[in-house]
Amino acid sequence: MEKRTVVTGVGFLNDWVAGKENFTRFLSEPIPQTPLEKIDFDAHIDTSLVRRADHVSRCALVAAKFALEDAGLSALSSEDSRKVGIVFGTVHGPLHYSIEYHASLVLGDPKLSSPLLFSDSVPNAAVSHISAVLGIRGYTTTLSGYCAVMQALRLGAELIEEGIVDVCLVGGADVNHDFLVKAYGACLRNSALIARSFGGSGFLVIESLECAIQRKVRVYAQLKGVNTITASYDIAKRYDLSPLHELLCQIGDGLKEHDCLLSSSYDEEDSLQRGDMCLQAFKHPQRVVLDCSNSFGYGFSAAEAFQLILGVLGVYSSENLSSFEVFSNLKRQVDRMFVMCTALAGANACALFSRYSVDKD
Amino acid sequence: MKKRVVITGMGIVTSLGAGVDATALALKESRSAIDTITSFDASKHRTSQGGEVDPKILECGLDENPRFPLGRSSKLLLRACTEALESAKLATSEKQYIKAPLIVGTTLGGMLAGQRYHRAILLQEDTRKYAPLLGDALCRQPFHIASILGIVGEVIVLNNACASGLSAIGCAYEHVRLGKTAFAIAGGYDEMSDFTHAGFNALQLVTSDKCRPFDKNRSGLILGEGAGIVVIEELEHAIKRRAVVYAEIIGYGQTSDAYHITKPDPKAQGAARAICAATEEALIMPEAIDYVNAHGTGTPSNDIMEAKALYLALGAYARKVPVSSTKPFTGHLLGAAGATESIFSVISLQKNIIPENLNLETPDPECDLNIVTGGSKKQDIKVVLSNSFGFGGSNSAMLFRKFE
Repeated sequence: MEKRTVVTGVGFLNDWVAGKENFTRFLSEPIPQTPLEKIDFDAHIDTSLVRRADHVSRCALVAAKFALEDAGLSALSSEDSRKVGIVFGTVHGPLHYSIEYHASLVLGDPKLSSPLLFSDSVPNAAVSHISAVLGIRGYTTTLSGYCAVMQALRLGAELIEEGIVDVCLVGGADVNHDFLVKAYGACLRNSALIARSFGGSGFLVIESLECAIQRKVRVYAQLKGVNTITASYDIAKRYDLSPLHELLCQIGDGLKEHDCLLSSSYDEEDSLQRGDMCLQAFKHPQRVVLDCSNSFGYGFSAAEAFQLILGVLGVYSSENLSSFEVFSNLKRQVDRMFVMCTALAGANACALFSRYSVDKD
Repeated sequence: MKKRVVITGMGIVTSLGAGVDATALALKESRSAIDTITSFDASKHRTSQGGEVDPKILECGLDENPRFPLGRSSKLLLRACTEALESAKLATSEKQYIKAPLIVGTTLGGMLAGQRYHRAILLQEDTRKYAPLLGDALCRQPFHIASILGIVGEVIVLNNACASGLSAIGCAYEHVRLGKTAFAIAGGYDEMSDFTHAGFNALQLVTSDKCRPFDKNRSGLILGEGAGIVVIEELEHAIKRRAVVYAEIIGYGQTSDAYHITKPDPKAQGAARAICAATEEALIMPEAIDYVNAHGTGTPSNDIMEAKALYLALGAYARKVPVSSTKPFTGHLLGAAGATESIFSVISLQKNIIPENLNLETPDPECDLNIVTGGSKKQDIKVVLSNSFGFGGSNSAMLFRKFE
């Protein structure tokens, strides 16, 4: 990356936590079972603006608002708003409305189906609400699929590098639903992770270091690189890829002694195999690995976004990692944190955040 | 140093038929392919008309993996990808991997597969026979196609509503222009489904008449299905491997209205900014544009907004440049629209024809544009502007230039 991209804001929300002080503690403890309706959206946003929005869109809107506020960007002028972008990742989009809308077609009269349910069930509904409510007029896009949040991070960094936007909100959201449990259960060997997956949304605010310095804002971490690549394995032979290896090649660097890794793999043979390739390469007595899928569970784009935020907060201050047993004996500050996902459908991604120090610059 | 970016492969399937040649002929002859929908019961809705792809075309003759059978949208996407790779001379018989990203846009691609399973749950039917289809749903179709074709770069799926296809090509264009990849495979796809048909009917955006973009009496759109895929390549790379260059992409703009989830901004500022961003990047004056392939859905609000956007972005020249919407030919292909219309734009450059804006009878004075009527128009064309706008205020605009 020619321009140095840094993270200056984080925002997240799920059924149980909304606030940085609780974030890492929440992730390190068993997730309690609470109904989705427990989120008090009125406490965070003017819900009259998004009365008809699906749960995913509402979560994403609140998390995006938190992230902008955290980055000191709560009030955007019309001119500034044209240079702010959104790149949002989701696997299933506004699932509750899609399901409800389809049920109304199957069980009711299609002629009487709700236009509002339909328009809010399209995958880009969340970005539309965020851009309309928060007044963001630059490049906005929704990516769907596995590892879509990592893809969003990479695309957002490219938009900054190219100068298409000055600031970019990158993040994602997903929720769970009985339909997912049944559907994945029908086509996967092991769908136990889906059954206990959680919903929510997380966002990062990224911008160029120059822009952050000019705005005199806190820098959480520097984004050194992101690699997202798909393993294709149905033709002549399996094409195995290690996202960690690909990232290191991309940034022209190797692993260092005290590097840390947040990893997640779906519990299917193919996904685990790609994940293992990275874990083998990472093995070193001085390096620490946290298995996020086992630690705080699976949650599609929500978990992916939470994993990235944990990586950012981890290099900002090691105290943010102290609730996790594997990090509890760390005697030094984490300088580099890799965040890696090997997901379903051959999707792979790896990002590297490094500690930002004013002294170095 | 930013690279020059060219199109070296194209593949298309719509209700007009499969392939660039069949499409070009239909555009030249002003032959629409809107007919009665047969893939589901549309009789309860405002219209039962649509632009469906002939089922014979969808039977692609592949030895399907019984564990992961291909759904309708995957077949559309596979058909277009295969033609694009063949025309770019990238398809191999030796089962070699293609190291390039596959970047595609869709609105609700794969909806049918998920719907069948969900319908079985709701009606308490045996879900087992629909379970294999799920391998092709849940956002997996492009991953599935990448596996079949051996594409190992990266699979990116964009959802920017009706601007998805052009956004995907725009994303690939930026990747190549910045030197992130030597080439990329990009486009869009969407299938007809009762979900989207009912939704657009409920929104009262579908017409019971013909689709008449820019007509004073226009009353809405007609839906269609299809896929359009292009191979986007860095010029030097294309020359080195002696690829045929179909056109050059010289500018792209993408913005957001920040206005409403379904309505376009009536002031058209977001759409105009996207067009201006494309012309600024291309370093051309408005007068250099020979043809505008409009988004032109035929809905009252879109067409007025688009006319305003053209006035704002192109000034007085907006009333002179020939404009047509090709949606009356195929129906509105949603996530595929921007991609197939990009291919229509390249066909215009290659064949020097401007497709007719079908069904226009009474021009709308509020859309005071030079709309092409009375058959396709033969004219030397060097630069084409293609617009795509979507729900949620997604605006995309791209400029194509004849490669000489």
